[in-house]
Amino acid sequence: MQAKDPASQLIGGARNALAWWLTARLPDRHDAFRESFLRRAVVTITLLGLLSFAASLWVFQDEWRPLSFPTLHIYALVTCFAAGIAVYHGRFTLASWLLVALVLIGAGGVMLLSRQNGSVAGILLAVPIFCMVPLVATMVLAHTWIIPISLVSTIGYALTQFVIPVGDFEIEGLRIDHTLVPVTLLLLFEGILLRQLRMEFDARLTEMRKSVTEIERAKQQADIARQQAEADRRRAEDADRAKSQFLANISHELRTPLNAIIGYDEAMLAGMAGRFTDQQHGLLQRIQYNARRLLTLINDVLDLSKIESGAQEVYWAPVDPTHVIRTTADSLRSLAEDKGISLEIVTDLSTPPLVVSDVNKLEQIIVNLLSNAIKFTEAGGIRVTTCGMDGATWQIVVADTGIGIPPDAQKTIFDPFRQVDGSLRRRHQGTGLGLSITKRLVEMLEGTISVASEPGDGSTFTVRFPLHRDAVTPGEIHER
Amino acid sequence: MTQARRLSVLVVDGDPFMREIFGLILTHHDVPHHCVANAREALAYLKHNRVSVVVVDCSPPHSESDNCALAQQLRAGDLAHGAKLVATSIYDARPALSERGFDGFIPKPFDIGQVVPYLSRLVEKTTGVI
Repeated sequence: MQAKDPASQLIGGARNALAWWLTARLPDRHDAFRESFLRRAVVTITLLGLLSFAASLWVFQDEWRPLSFPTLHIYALVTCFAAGIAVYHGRFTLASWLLVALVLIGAGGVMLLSRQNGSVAGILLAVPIFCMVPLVATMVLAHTWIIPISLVSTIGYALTQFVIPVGDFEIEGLRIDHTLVPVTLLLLFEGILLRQLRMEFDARLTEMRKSVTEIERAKQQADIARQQAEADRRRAEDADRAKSQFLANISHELRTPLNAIIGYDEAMLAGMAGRFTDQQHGLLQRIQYNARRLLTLINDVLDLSKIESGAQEVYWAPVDPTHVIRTTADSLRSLAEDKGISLEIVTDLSTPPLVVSDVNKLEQIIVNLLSNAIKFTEAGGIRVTTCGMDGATWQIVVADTGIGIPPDAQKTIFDPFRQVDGSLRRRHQGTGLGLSITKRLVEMLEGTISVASEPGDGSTFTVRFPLHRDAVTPGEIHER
Repeated sequence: MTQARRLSVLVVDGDPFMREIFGLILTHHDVPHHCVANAREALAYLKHNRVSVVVVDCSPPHSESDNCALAQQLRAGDLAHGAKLVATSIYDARPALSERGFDGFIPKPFDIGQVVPYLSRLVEKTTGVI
């Protein structure tokens, strides 16, 4: 790496310091602050520049040369105007560097004045006094110190002009002592400007710090809220687990003795405990009927709880839908025949030979829909149709000629504990959970269920499932 | 009475009432049987006896209880001597139980008239899937 000479290092250091002063305090994310600051700076410098320009024309009566006092003022004004344009267009970094250029032009003016006075000491004093002292004061001291420092600089500079011999004082016919007033006044103006800038900085910095503090506080509060939410979530999960465990336990404890009751009763009905009179046989049948009703009720409530708590698992496997529908419907055929209604199974040619599904849940869906249809149909019959749809889905349609469902009840028919009306529930003895469970089972199998019905004309339930064709390979079907 | 000559059953059920009901059914059909309460007793029985079907209560089916793991134990050590393994449960979990190595499934509550015919069919078949 090439070593830099001390002069370059000095210039680089100074440049970096200026850049830090003008830009590091004005990060891009605070554009509103930068814009406000730069606008004020440009306006103030422009006014100051115009004043100084007028003073230079009136006091110095200098010539219009490339490096004379009036031309330097023109450069300064143009630079200031350019900074204003840059601010207007949101080019804040460019505007900041133009302000740096303004400071350098100002320094150049001071050097020029001193050179014209023929004093090397003047140059050596003017540059630090005009630029460095107020600059350092602005950066290091509080804003209340800037005006006093500027005054000290002004007086100090004025005194040097009297104390240090500078030779020929004539500048274009004007004596140097006449120039002291506006030059020192410029120092004062510079101090006022820098004080304003520093105050602006301090105010904005305080605002920013306040904002940062508020953000930090908000973050802390958000952290606390997040921890609280996390703790609440854990508590809810624990409670949910406890509820699931309770349901599992209660399910076991309720169903086990009930199964024993049903078993003993069936054994007696089957004559395994001797002969009974017709009346005793009838009473045993009533025990059987009511025990099975109670078991269905318990199973429904527990099934719904399990589904809603997400405890139900889906066992995906290739399934022959026609076979499942036929065997399930056949198991319920006797119920339909007891009521004197027909049960027809229609398998369309488009029905896929294999689908990916959960055979138990599919069976339960068909059982629930068919049981409902049988329950609410007094005459006519039930038709179960299966078919493939658009190559991506397949559907089961269960249509009956039953009592139908009024339009307003169709909206809530899949809600838990709903039947069309209470009198029907008493008449047909259901929990009102069947369709709710069916809907949830259909959703677990990624399907949809809908109903179309007219009171008195029967109901049609349509269940549609995705085909999952890619997952099915011939030969995987489970024989049941 | 129906008599299933080839059928002999070992019932493994923790509920004494269900063991009694199984006993009533199997006695009614003249099926030789033995009822035990748990897997340990079942393994002890099978050490000295042979049956054609072992009916195991798996309630709940997902638990790691001795009963649910019995099928795997019997298969691993060929302790059942070719007996068919049938799960029975108040939970309808055929796929889960099939994965655990059971050949058949009887859901509770069962139709008393169907138990022995079902077990007989299972024994006569060379292979069986739930």
